[in-house]
Amino acid sequence: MTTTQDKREMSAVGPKNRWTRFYREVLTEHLIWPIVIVMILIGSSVPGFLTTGNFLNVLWGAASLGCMTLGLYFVLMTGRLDLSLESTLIFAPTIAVLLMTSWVVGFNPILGLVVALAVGALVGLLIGSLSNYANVNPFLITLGMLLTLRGLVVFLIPEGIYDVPEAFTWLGRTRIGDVPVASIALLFIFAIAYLVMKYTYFGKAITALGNNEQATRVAGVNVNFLVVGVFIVAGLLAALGGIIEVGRLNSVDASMGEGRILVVFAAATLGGTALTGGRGRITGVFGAVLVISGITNLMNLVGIPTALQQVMFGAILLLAILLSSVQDSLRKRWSS
Amino acid sequence: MNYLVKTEGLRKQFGQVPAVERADIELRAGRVHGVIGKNGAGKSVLMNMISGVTSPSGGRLLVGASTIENDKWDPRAAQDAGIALIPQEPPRLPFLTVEDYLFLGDRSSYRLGTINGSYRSRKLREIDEALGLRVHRNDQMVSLPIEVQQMLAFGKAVYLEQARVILLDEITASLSKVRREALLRELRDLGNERAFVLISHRISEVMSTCDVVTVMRDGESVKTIETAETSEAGLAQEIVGSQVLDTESVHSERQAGEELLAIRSAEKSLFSVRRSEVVGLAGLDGSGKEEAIEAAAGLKRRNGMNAFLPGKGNALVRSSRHAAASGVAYLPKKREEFATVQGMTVLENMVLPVAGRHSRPRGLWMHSVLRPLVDPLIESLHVHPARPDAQITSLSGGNRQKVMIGRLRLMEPNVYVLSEPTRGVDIGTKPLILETIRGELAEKSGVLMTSEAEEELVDYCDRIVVFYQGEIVKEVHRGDPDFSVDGIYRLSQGVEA
Repeated sequence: MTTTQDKREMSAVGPKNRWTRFYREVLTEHLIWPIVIVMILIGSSVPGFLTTGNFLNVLWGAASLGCMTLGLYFVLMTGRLDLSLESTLIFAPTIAVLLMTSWVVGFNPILGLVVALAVGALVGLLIGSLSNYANVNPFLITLGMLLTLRGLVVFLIPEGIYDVPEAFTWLGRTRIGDVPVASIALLFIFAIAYLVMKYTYFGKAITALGNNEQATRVAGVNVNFLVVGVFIVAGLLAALGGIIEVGRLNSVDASMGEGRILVVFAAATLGGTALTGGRGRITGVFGAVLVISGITNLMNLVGIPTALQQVMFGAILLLAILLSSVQDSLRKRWSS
Repeated sequence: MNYLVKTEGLRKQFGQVPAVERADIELRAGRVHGVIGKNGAGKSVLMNMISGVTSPSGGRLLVGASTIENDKWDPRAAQDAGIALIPQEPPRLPFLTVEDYLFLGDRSSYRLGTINGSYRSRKLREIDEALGLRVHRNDQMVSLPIEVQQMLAFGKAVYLEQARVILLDEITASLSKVRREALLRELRDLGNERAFVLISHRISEVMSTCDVVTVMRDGESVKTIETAETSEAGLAQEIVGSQVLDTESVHSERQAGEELLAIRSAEKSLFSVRRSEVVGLAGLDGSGKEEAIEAAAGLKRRNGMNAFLPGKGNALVRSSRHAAASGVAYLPKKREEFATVQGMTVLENMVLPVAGRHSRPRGLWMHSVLRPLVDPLIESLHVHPARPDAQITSLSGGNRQKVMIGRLRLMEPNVYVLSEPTRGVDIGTKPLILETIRGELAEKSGVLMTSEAEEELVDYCDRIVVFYQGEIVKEVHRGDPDFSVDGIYRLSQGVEA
């Protein structure tokens, strides 16, 4: 066991050649970056794509999707899933905005942000607890939650709300100089998530849990606590995504985020996150969010109609699945 | 008190079936304790009880000065008491890095919830120096050979968890020669603080490494003896016990027909199966018999073993489908995983491979056509309950196996390839299955089978091919002097009589 990075050649396995090792590592572990490069190359033929302003727009547009995908990533790492994220996305800001605009007169908008995040966390707590203590498959629980929350939102704000307090929309709407605050927030939470996965007990424990629940339990890790934990994190992130989205659109609409969960799954899978748990990289997820947001941006620049964009996302999901199976077989071939 | 762990008349029953009937063993610090016995003798179950994986049905388990209460004993409690089990299969944590695997569950490798780098580096260096594994801390577990994963599990238990009682359940079976010898040396060197248990099938290994050895037979610890006071042949005798053959069940030699299936390795002919004979394969796990039987069924061609069809101009059996189409019917060892279809009935399970062929028009599922195929088999095999529409899962293991035998018979093959046909079959049903194999199956076809019980091979086979360390040591014919339980066992241990 060599303890420093530069002694990689001490490893008993793997090829000796530096270049071979590099491209194998890229193909099996970081496949998303070649895809990002291809997207940029294709994009360079579209006028207006390769500009700083547009890049910031891509990041801005990616913020809400990025939050949800990151939330799903944590859940997937434990070998579970959460379909309800797209409903939490709208449910959390809806409650907060209703509090501010109609339920309580003069409700502090900063407190409103806290309420939105708390609602997201509570939804996660509820899902996590149900999945632990009622021992029900998270697919069913979160499916139920998906429908319940969406139904509640449609009941509460059938018409939507268009006068949202400014402090509440600040995060999603404002630019500092040319840079949207939301894009900074996106980079910030991904950096935090990266550090969490790499350097904290929580990150290591959920990876172990997704690899082998029984072995992780035996090792003395509190699995139930972790499961509740990831659902809470996912709920929080979805709520944050919702706040950003509401701010960007400067309104709350009952259909916001509907069907988005499929794109979120596409992004997580494209980023190399295994649906079976225990495997996935934050950098990969970030790359995938960039790719999806970039493609959306490209399609808007070229003027592809929304219906066809849907087709495109379906195709991306299929591609992601295909790529992950290619990655698996490459990994098998090269590790034996 | 000079023991670390002690069991007194420890017992374990699974349902009605006793796995361990009476185990007395005393593990002391500074000793390597061998546990040896045939498969099913109860070695692993005993280790599982000591390490909290399963709870005993009776008897006493003492750890240190205290008697263990069943409901407080689980893997976590055992780990806290300093007991570590390294199972045959390394724990499956494929996508963890080496570092994350080693420090899983180790609280001191974190400081305020974040990684404690200096502690980790120090420990990693310590393990590296001791085991010399030459792996990188960022390598994924799945990319490492099984033997390296085993050694990491060992290093984790000894150097990180500071376990004082370390149970090695046949881990030497998956290690290469070099690693095995290094590990055995390491066991001897690890000092007076710890007690090791080494479960192994290899008598020679136990003799050279252990201070004391306990022989288990049929769920009982029959003898505990210092290795200095016994010999390899003496241990072999203890393991087999004094089994007197039931002379009535010994069959006479029969006239075998033409050659049906030949197994070859590279250019060398290994053995063949003829019509109207039962050929048995004997050997320890990893001896090569498994590869041979899988080759016969057209499965994975490992070790370069291949099956050929002498009746078809010595054509190579290319795949399991090709084997089935060429009249080779295969019964896999892991019946529940690869043979029975849970959620379907006895009839559906039995006719699955041939249903399409028998119905008219072809491809339709005609109950009226299939029922008459199944009924006589259910009767002749004494399947209980004798209802074709019973769910397969409602049957006992033995009866499920009868259904599988029935399925093979419907395929009307030239050769039956049976991988441990008595595995997971209750004692009462075993003779019936073996009689069927020797009677109806071998009447018009050839049979190739393996069994972990030498007495079954000796009772029911015409020839036994014995494997040892990947090679055939001997082909023993009925009537030869070695055609006996202890003869076969000795050959499969590589021990001279």
